Amino acid sequence: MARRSHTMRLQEGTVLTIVRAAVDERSFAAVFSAHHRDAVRLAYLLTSDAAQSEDIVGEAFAKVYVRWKRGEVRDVGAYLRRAVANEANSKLRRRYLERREAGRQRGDERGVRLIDEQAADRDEVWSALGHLPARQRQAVVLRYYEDLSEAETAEVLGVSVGTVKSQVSRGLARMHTLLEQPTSESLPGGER
Amino acid sequence: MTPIEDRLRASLRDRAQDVEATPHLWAEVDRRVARRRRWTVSSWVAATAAAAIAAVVVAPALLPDAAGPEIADRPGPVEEPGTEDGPVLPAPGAVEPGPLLVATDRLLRVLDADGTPLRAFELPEEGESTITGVSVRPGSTVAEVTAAVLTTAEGMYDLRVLRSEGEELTLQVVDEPSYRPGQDAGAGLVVSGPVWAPDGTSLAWLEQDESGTRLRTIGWEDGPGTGLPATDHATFALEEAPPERLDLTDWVAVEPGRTLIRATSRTAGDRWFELAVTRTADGAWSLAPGATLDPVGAPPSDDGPVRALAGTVEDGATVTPAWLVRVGDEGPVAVWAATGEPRPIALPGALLGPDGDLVPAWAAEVEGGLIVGNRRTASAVVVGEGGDVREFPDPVAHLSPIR
Repeated sequence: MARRSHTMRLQEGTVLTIVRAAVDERSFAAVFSAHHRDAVRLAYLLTSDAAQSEDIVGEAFAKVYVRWKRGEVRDVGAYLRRAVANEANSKLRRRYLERREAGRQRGDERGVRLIDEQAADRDEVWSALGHLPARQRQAVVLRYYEDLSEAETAEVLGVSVGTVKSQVSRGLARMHTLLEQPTSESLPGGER
Repeated sequence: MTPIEDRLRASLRDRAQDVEATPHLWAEVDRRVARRRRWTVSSWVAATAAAAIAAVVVAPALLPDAAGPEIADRPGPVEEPGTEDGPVLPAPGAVEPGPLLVATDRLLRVLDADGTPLRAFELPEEGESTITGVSVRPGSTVAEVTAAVLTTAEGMYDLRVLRSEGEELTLQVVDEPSYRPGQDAGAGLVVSGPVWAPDGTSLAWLEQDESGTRLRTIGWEDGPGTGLPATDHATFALEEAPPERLDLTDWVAVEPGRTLIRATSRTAGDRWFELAVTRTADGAWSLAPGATLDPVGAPPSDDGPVRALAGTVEDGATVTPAWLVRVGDEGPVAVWAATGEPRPIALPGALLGPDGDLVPAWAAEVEGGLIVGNRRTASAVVVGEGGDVREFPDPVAHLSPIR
């Protein structure tokens, strides 16, 4: 008996769903328009890969949509940043593994660098950023490009504020070292 | 602001100008949403909703003017090759299972987010090994899956590693004695699991035999073992563990350094079991003295004994299951407790086995809902947070989301 009444509720709900669907589509288009450009740029800064940035943002928007349509996203920008950061982290991790494996097969460790070397050639700071481990890079980009506070950065990355402080501090120190000593070994683009 | 911070900020601003979204991005979002939608609700709802949606998406005038000044950025009804189903809008609370690893007794399959089988591996009949548990390593993707698979034959258990290699799946037995289930086990050995640590750095399973109950862990770095004494492998004897047959369900994070391993019973009543596991400074897992799988009472309910659980709800330093699967007088129910009052959702009676119980049960939280099944009958249903329930299309005795 309980199950029968449950089914009835579902059928009534679906009628409302159809009406709401059209509203959802239009509203989400506006959400997309408002946020997609910033999202692509953030993804690019996190990965140095313009083509991959669209892939990341496409997946991030699809995930945001699932939550958004259920009314679970109050701040789309913040939720999208987190989704982009997570997707970028996954891509970087896979790239890291692929390059490490490639490096092993070649007998060197050049493959471990988390950079797009073509993009990294452009300037020293950008190049140094490419040498940071993924989490340090994310923390640095969110702090100095998105201008998020440490607490906001921690929220996006799903880590503690202390971890953000540590990652940013280590990232800046690493970049400082690289920029002070831009030898052919420490930065890509130089002769090896 | 230090000089390095100034330079960094300027460089990031400059580099951000290098990239612009292409006109194809909205189509890509639309395609991904549409693919996820193929999992959702019943066919008449989807068909009717699709018709309503089509009326909207083919009317450009209805799209918001606020879409931006550049035409290239404006979302619209873009026909994108490969968008098989076209844009389809979801029902509230619809389930988005995402890619899955599913298994029957001998067949393992990777399913894409839309349910399409991508790769499969079938255990050879020789040896008559059957699968007793699967768990996808956190961080896996549909293209790059790593999973732990537990199999049994003639009372012996094997841990196997499932990996994607191109279009193929490989399944290798872990031969290293320190990593094998049931080493030094007594008579009547039963192994349950495996489950991954939340960060994927360790794997655990539970061994029960006449000599007691043990939790086994092995570290993982590209494969079983780390080579480091603190994290390579460990065995924890659980004194005073419940004597009944337990099914290890998951290993979840509570807060940094604190985790819970959870299990359900095949016979006990309104409770499940939890074991607190902490991480020490050297990366080793640690139990408090005398720690064991402690029974945890379910909220007062007439819904019957707990047979499976999944997901987490965080409340400060406390973590409770987002879903409980129970079998009461009215039949099986999935109780969703993630928000507000726990909401019971009736499950089909066909999910029950011949004994009228849901044993052994399994459950996996997925985007927007739960998949719950009965290993004995290899049947499962997909349950949405909104209350929709539908049959899982294929026989499945084990399932683990790929994420």
